Amino acid sequence: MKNQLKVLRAMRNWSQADLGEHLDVSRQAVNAIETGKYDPSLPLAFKISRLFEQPIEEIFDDGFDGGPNGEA
Amino acid sequence: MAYDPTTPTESERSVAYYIVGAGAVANAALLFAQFVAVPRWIAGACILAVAASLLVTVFSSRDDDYFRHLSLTSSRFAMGIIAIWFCVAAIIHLGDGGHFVGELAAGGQPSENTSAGPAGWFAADTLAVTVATAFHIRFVFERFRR
Repeated sequence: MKNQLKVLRAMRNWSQADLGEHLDVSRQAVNAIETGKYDPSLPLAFKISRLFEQPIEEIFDDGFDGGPNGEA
Repeated sequence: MAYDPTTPTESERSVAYYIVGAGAVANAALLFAQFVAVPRWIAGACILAVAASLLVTVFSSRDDDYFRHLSLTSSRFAMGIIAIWFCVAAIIHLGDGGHFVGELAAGGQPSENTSAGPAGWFAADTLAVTVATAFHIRFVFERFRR
């Protein structure tokens, strides 16, 4: 899943370790999320959303553009 | 969120990854030691490192979501190896070959056709090293794949 984590982190001049400290995860976890190797759990996604004060759907993009019932 | 002084720091959470990484290296050495004679203290140190790696995977509370994801994926892969091992053992036990292999494993002595053969289901340490190797290979692969 694509996400804006790297951009948001760069805007604050944080290292991956800094962001990991804020999110209570490791630097490795931040790297895996940024590179799209790992999709965060829902609690972690909410934590990221609260930290950057943005809705989850603006940080993470699952590539789906349709409505709630699947219509495009 | 309230401050919790016992919350692990980022570097403390990273330690779990380093321990499993060291365990993977020790596992490779242990696998090597299955085929080439090495001093017992080296084998013992490798076994200890592999044990530490697996214990961290099971019992660590100072890790994170991603580490648990890697552990789960790797554990499932290792379970698959055990399943294959059981399938092979089942074929040997059920087939006529089981008795034959059992006699060979028993050094050619006449043996009862019971579940005790063949040779205690191969060597337990070989199975343990194989499963640990499968776990670490999958862990490292998942960690560093693009």
